[in-house]
Amino acid sequence: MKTTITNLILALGLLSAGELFAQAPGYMGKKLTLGYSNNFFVSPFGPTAAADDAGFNTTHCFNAEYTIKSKTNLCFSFQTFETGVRMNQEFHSTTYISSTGEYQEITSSYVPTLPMQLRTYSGGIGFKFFTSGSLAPVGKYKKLELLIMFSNLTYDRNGFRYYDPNTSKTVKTSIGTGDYNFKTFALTYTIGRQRVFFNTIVLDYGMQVGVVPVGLLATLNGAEDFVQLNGYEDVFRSDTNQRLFRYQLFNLHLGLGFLAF
Amino acid sequence: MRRPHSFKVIAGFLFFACSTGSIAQFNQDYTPIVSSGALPAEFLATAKAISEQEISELGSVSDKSAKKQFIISNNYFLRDLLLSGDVLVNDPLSKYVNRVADELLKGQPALRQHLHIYVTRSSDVNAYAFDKGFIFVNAGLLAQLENEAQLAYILAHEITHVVKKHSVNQYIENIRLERGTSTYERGSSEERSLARYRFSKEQESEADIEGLKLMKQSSYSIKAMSGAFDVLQYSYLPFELVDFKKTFFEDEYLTMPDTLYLKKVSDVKANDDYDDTKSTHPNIRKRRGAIEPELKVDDENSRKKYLVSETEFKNVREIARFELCRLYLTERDYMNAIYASYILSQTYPDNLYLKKVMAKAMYNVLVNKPTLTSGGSSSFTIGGSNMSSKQYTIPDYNTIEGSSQRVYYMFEGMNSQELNTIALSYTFKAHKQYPNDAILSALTDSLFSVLVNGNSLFLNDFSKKSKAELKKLDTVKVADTVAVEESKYSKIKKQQQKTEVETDENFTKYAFVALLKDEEFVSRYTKMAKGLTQKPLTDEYAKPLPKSKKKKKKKNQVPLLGIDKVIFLDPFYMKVKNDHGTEYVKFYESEEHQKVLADIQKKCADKLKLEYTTVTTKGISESDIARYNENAVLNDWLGERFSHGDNNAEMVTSSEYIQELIKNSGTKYIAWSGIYNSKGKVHRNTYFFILLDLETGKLMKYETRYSRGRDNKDLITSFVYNSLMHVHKKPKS
Repeated sequence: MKTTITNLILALGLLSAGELFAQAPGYMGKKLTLGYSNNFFVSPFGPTAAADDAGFNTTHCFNAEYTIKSKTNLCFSFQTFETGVRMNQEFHSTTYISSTGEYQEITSSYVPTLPMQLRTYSGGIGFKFFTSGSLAPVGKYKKLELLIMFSNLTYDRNGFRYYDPNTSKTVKTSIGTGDYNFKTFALTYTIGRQRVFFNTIVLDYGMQVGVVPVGLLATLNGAEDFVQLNGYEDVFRSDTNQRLFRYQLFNLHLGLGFLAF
Repeated sequence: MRRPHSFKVIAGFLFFACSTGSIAQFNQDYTPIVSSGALPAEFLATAKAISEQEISELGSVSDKSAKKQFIISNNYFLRDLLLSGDVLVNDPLSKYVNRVADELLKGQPALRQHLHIYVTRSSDVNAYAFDKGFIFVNAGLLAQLENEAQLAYILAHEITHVVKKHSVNQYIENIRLERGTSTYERGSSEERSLARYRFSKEQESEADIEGLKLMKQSSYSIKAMSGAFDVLQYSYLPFELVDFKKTFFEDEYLTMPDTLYLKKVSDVKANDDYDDTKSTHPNIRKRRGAIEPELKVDDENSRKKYLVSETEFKNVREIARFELCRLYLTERDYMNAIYASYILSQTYPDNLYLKKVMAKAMYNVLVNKPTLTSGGSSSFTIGGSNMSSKQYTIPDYNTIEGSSQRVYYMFEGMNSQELNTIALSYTFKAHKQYPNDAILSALTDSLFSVLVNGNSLFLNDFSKKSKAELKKLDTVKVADTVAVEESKYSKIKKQQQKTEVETDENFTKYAFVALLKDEEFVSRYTKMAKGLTQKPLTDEYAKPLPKSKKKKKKKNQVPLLGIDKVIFLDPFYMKVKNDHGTEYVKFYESEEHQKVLADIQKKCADKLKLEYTTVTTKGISESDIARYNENAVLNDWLGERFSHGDNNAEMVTSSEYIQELIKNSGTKYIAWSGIYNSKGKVHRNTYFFILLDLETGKLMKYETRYSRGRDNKDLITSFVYNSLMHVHKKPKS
């Protein structure tokens, strides 16, 4: 279903662009801009390394933009980032205590050598609207973008430990497969400015706010500290979405590109 | 032996020619004056170069910063004026005025050498001076003068301004007054503001007195010059007061009703003792009173009204008056244009130039009157932007004094159909007299066009028979008798006709009785009615308004014009620093950015493969008089066109003089762009682009963009490219 919607948006975008090409001046006739930009900001939550370290979010964006109207660019982007995800949860399960003949709840926690790793690849489609007094691709703009995010979460499935009351020892345990893929989407809003140097080089800078709706809900609901072991996949999904939400929340961006044709 | 006799004959002939009051050169036609010869050196140096040199020569002086500011702004302003084309070079008027200055300053050769005196194309009754020795006398002033001595006194007055360095002193004093550091007035801000005027008035009074002293040193008559103040006092009146008669437009059959003729005109009652508190000059009464005690000289009898030549003075004044007719047209003062050409037509009834002035003025008044189809004002959206509507309205005749009031009254009173008829009758007759004149021919077509497409008047709306003929006909007579078999409609028509014939009502119906006997008139009228004539002067009335619904234009879609070649004018660029509401022009930076904008324009045109030619005064050289004149003609045209705003129906009367430029350039489209950048708390930019059709005056494209931020090169490039793209790109068929 999501794929169908994406295709529809792309098709509509291209159709509307085709109709309006004749009116779009571009920059000295050049309408296609290819470039790289980096979205970055300090990461106050969910650091990439050890639990208490401050982190830094950075997203690599490869952009292709086409001027479809005098003040509008149709934008496509491919974005990727990699980050660690801190896991706060403990997983609970019950185990039989042979000495008492009763069941007792035990707690497993993640004590890995590395935090969980999240790799996200996003495909984006959006529009840049240049403000009054500017003509695409020069000047101040506002950009709206829809990102379809494909995330891969890896962790050390054998990195879980629990205290075994039967043996009074800490025992290793395995949870899940160690590799999960999740999909979600984000909406971003950017305000920025573009300059063109030497009639070819495009400098793009500004700031961006973004919302990953699913991540927002996960964040609002808060992380459950007490999670049943059989619900671990949901926890990973929720952690991923929360991380994505925080990653997209606010970023500065700086990019360079060139006017192709 | 024969020689003395020949001289006598020639002298006798000259005397006769002069005594008749008309100057033979104006009998047939008049060609507007243009500059000729080599351009003087002061036209060639750049304002920046001159300013830098003058600033370096300043040394350590008081108020150095203000003086620097003055030098820069003065030089840039002067440079703009010199290259505007309004200043005439080596023309009969400037030459004559300079000869008067020679006579005036016979005893002061050094001062004379320092002065650069020129005549400027302006109808204002004024003369002005710059500190650097530049004196400009407007053609409007020359047209009003009574004698050479008056001109000499006006020059003497301006020379005093130069000698006493009044401009710079006033500039510095104004700055001091603004800052509150002036010793001249240290009161409240209002008192300081009034002190500016007071200071200026003192300078003017000084120039009056010192100018008179200069006059006394010359051989000019002091008595004759005293009338100069009358010239100033009555400067708002036309150069002559001649009774305006409606018979000027009438013929055997065309009789205008008396209701269009103002029976009594207002007396001239110029008040010479007006309140001059907020005026830069003292009022005339004070000025006259101040110099009156000084007017007495012992040698008045040996002094002369004319030292150069009376004949030349009169010739120069006549040229100025002819120029004035054209200037009134370009300044959109159609009533004065009509009256001025009327006055001159009394002496030169066959002058083609005057006939054209009259016809053009009437046409432009006409297209501004509400017609049947237009219903009044029109509004245009061109290139996605609105240009403010500038409809011409005839000034209220009650505000006019003297005989010209009748002109205002008559043209105000006529409706579109009446004026159309009168104008067509006048123009067609002029065309018949000068059949080879393209303007009169085109004007005739244009008037037919308005008649048909604007006023819905067709051939059958005009009577072929005169009122006298109709009176004689039985049909009119029997209207009084009761015919039993006659229908009521027929009776109504006959009654109406009877009323028309016996009164002034519907006078236009009988306006073309004579003209309808002319084969060409009927043929052109018929062709226009059938839509076969395609090229009137302006295209707003070329075709009837389409009855079918117009295709709805897509929102925000700018029309593509598909133009292959344009003329680029020097772009406009002004960088201004806004310091707490006071704006300072950054002249040097503006000049540099102007070059950048010109380069961008060319690069964008090259990229679009849009051909162009440039009209510029940048880097003009001594021998570039043709370029100078070309620029002058274009500036005239543009000034006039811009005063019309979005009014495409009004003809640009100076189009006649621009045909050569169109021919030489290979295009009739002219593009002008510019940027106004103001730096206060933030940078604000206003970009504009204007494209005009030089032939019809049609505003093809008008675009403005406002942006905040620096006026970076890439931003400007994107603006210019966008404008030129719309000019060059061909619309989809």
